[in-house]
Amino acid sequence: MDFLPTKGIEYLVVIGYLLVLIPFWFVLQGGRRRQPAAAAARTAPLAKVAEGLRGWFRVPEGVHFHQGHTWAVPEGGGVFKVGLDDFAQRLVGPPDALRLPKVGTALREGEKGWSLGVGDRTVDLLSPVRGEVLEVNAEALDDPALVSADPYGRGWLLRVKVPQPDAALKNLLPWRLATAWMEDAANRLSAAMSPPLGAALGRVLQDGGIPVAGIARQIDPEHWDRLAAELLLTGER
Amino acid sequence: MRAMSEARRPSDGLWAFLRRELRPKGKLITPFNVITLALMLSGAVILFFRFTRGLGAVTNLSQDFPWGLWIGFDVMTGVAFAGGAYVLTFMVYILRIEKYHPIVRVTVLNGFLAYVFYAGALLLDLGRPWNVVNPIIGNSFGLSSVLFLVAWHFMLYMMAELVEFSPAVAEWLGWKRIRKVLAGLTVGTVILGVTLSTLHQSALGALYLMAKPKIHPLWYSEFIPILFFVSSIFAGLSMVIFEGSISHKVFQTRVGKHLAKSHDDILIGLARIAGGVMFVYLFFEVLKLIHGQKWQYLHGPWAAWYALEIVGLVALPMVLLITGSRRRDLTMIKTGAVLTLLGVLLNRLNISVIAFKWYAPVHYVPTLMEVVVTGAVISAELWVFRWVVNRMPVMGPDPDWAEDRAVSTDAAAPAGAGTGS
Repeated sequence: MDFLPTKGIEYLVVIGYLLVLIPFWFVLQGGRRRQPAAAAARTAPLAKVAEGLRGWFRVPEGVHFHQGHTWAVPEGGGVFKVGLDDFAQRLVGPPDALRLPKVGTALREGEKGWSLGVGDRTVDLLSPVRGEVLEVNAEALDDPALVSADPYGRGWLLRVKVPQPDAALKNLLPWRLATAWMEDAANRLSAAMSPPLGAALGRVLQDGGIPVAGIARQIDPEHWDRLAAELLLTGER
Repeated sequence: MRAMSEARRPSDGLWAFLRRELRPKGKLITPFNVITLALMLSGAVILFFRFTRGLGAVTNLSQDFPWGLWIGFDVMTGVAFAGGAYVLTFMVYILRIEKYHPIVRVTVLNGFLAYVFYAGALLLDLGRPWNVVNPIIGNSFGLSSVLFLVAWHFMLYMMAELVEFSPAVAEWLGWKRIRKVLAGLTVGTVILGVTLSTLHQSALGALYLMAKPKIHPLWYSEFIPILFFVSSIFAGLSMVIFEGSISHKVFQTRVGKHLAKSHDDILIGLARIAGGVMFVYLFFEVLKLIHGQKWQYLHGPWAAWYALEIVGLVALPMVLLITGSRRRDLTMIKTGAVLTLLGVLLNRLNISVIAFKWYAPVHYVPTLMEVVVTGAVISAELWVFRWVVNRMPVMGPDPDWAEDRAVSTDAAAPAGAGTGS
């Protein structure tokens, strides 16, 4: 009977442990899947539209987003590279001209940073960070279509020296969280294209289509102002 | 174009460059500098007396308690905390989990310095420190002793970690060809280093197998080597989380963009791994109690002390680490990491000092001087660590010519990153 208190119990404990290991493994692996599921549930009414948009907007790793659809990437030493994101790029389409601030200009976070000339109208964009302009992307100035072709790469706009890089990053949305946010913006875009605006556009989203590059070109000025105010936050100033 | 990479280049001769690099950077009078300098100076004075008048002059060590704080904390705990290096190099170079690549260098540097300083502190404790070379040169190998293995492993592993870190030194000095050779050695060295680590982490536990009657039964077990090895995994990972979140703030300007953007994800991933390993460790602890029929000891103050270690400083931080990684809550993860470190510290001290000869009427308590010397060793390590991090490409950014280390991030890489001077 010496068997039971030692080996017997040990075997039972090992079996019990292996059984506990199964739910434990699910707990250990679980956390990540929750968030997208919750996000999907929240946007259920627009699920069909959102489905078409998922993955449509590029959200590269390491990029921090401003709510006004501009981005910033810290380069170390308090220097940030900034530009406009894929959503803004698709919304306005290839710009004809860039109006960028000069080197040395002081930018303020959340205020007008630069503007794009699209056809005969101007689209203002907000600066994602506060700081001083160190460099302007001359290549993009020469060829504004770069902004549209490669918004996070060769289409960057400014390099900005930011006095408080930590504080600046706290105000921005890290890329991990940005996908859900961009989808939300896309949903709002589709909601904004309800009949009055839809008439101006023709049928786009409701057909299961995706936003045409350069919606801005096709919307009349009054509607455009409303859309920009809502999506690029430029109307609030 | 970029000041940071230019400062690293010895354009005006190696010696002038080294002289320039030796100068301190940043403010000299800071609370950290003042406190650590005071510790190091007092430590130096105490060590002077230790080497001129012997161990008895400054420590409470005796024939009954020959191993004290310097072994129990510096060597036993320091080496466990340095375990992050072998775990991470294994994950990155063998399992090829690129996610953790940005923190490999800083972890290896930490591991290397920990071995040099904490295992080096072993010399302070040896009655005749010059005899430390005997097992190496064969004056007296001592083949039947676990310490033979420990001596060889410490030496080989320090060299392995130095080789693993050496590409950073070559980048700092601008030696392109040598860097290529050294970088080519990495994988082989990692395999050697991981093998050595698994063996000597457990060997440190095996040292105590010969002290069976002296260690309280709740801590003694023939599985001590396995427990030491498993706990070194989560001790090392918790140290990486703890140290990483501090140096991420302190060395902000030295953090490269790959690390800056993935730092949070790395901590969350490490917390999940550490939590999983702790679950295994707890199982081994339970098995240890059952196998040794130790439940008869589960009452009284020693059992409460044991419960504090296992429940409060292993099970609780395990829950914090796992919950934190599920909720992406960094505060919870960092709290869990700190508690884990305390737990491992307590475990090593319990086995080597606190529950060692628990029955003795007069127990060893370290002198203030022993504590100061330990503080001085830690301070010296932090100074060297800071010096290296502030000069060499440890947390990135790499020089542009060292391309193979850069992690590809498709569109995220800003234009022009590869064209700097």
